[in-house]
Amino acid sequence: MSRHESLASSLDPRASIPPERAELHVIDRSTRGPALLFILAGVFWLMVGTLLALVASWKMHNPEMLSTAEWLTFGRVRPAHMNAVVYGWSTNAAFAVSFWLMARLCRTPLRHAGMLYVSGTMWNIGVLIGLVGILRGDGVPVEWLEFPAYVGPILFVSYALIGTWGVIMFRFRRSEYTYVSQWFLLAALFWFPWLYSIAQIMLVFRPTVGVVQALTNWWFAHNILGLWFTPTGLAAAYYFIPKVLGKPIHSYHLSVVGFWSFAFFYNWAGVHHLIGGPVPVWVQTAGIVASLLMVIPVVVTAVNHHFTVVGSFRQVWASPTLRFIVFGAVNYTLVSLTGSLMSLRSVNVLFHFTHGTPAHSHHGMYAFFTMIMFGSMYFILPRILLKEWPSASLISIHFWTTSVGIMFYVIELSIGGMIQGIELNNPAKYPDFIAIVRDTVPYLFMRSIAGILIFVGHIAFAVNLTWMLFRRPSGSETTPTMFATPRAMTVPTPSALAGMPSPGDSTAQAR
Amino acid sequence: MLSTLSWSMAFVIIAGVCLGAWVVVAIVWSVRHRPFRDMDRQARVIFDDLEPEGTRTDFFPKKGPPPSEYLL
Repeated sequence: MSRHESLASSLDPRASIPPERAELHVIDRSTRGPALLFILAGVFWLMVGTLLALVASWKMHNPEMLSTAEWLTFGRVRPAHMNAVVYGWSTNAAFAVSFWLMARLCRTPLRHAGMLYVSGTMWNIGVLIGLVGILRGDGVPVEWLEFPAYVGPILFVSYALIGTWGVIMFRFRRSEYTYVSQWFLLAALFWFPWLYSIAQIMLVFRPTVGVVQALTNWWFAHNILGLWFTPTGLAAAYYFIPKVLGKPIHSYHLSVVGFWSFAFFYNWAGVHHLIGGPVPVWVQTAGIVASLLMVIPVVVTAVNHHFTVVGSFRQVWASPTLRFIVFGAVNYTLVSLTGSLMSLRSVNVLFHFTHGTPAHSHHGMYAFFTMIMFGSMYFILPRILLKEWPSASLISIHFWTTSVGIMFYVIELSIGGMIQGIELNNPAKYPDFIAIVRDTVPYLFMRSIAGILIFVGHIAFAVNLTWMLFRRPSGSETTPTMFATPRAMTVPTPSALAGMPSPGDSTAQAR
Repeated sequence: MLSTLSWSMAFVIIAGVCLGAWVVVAIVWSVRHRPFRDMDRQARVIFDDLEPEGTRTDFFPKKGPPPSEYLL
């Protein structure tokens, strides 16, 4: 097991790779501590981030609320919300799902859990310091990088440990092939430090000026979603959709096309945030072309995901994991295609500088990425805790409130943004700027209502998770998600494995 | 002493060279391991004896069918 391996031996190029492949339940159990650390921290930041979001959202149509405390002013609460959900919730969730997927796909128990405990502790201390810093007024005025400068090194060192761990895990893999999810995870493990380190250097520690600053800012802000969260979400979708349905992905060949076209085109697309700005036109055009070329990986991935699901909708509905993940996969297709469309100059002029932009970013970060992370956790947690989720009703509440909430949010705010854009582009007809701002208020109020709905879903998820953690498992509990009693799965010896009920046997009998 | 911009550019160039070198290593590694062989088997590596192909592996708690009916 991993705890007996020294880090030096794992880094030794001459180290031998253990010949045996580990059983899945042994691998799952080995990921338990680190995965739980990151999931619980992530859910904590999700609740904090959602509360901050509600405060920020309410202030947009009721600015007097909480206006006497400077640390609760909109200029601090809004970046605090964003950084809590980006670096607190989303990144912790991405790490947890990545550890679990990487260990399973490498067919080896998790090695060097200590590295992950250290990095997880450092990461979350960094997030805490960063959020306190933003609320105190130390925030950096750079979108998606508002944590104070002193937080950057903490997060970077923490991430370096995780990246090193990922390389070690991949090196000691026992799987015969590298599955498509591993391509995305490994790529994301390299893309994130590249993005984060260059953005920190060029925007925070030694800030560039003028056009280069704006370009670097949107190169980072767009790619942190596209080259960190998106590949992690796609890796999970590529694993869980075929896994839960019990049938391989529709076309493995297409997944190769999808990965490489994604890797080539996404990095260029961020410039479309600066269309119409004081940026060389050829740079903007390059960003637009890349955004349109993104249709290739998106359509390829959509074909692969959705054609795998076709004919199995009843099974999707019966699985909490797939309800969330298929919802996320459908929204990946929608948000990506609308993103390509919004990069066109004629469309961009309508949505730029309007509430349509946050609607689009929430479509990507929540309806796609966060829903896939929720679905992944519904699959992972019973296997690492050897307990079933205590309440199906709470899962249903979680699904309905978050899915209805986020779709209501995206649709109504996009409509509000479009109306705002039409009015801003017609100064002859709408000369009063304040009147245009007032016209957005009903949409901002509806946004707060959607936020409350989403918050209810998060409470349901947090309650179900807490209940699951503290509930005593029944000794005879044979859950539909685990195929064996938890008692049998806790003993990773060959004799115990031989005594387990084998799903292969039931397969043979049924056939 | 290097100016502010030069320090940033130096870092970006060094990072670019390191990452570029890593890309070359990754390409050489992938060519040696022939990643595009036997794609049909690659698509099935996520299944094994404990969670085999043809078997659904997730249901709402207490709402799943008995194990004998897990098959598609």
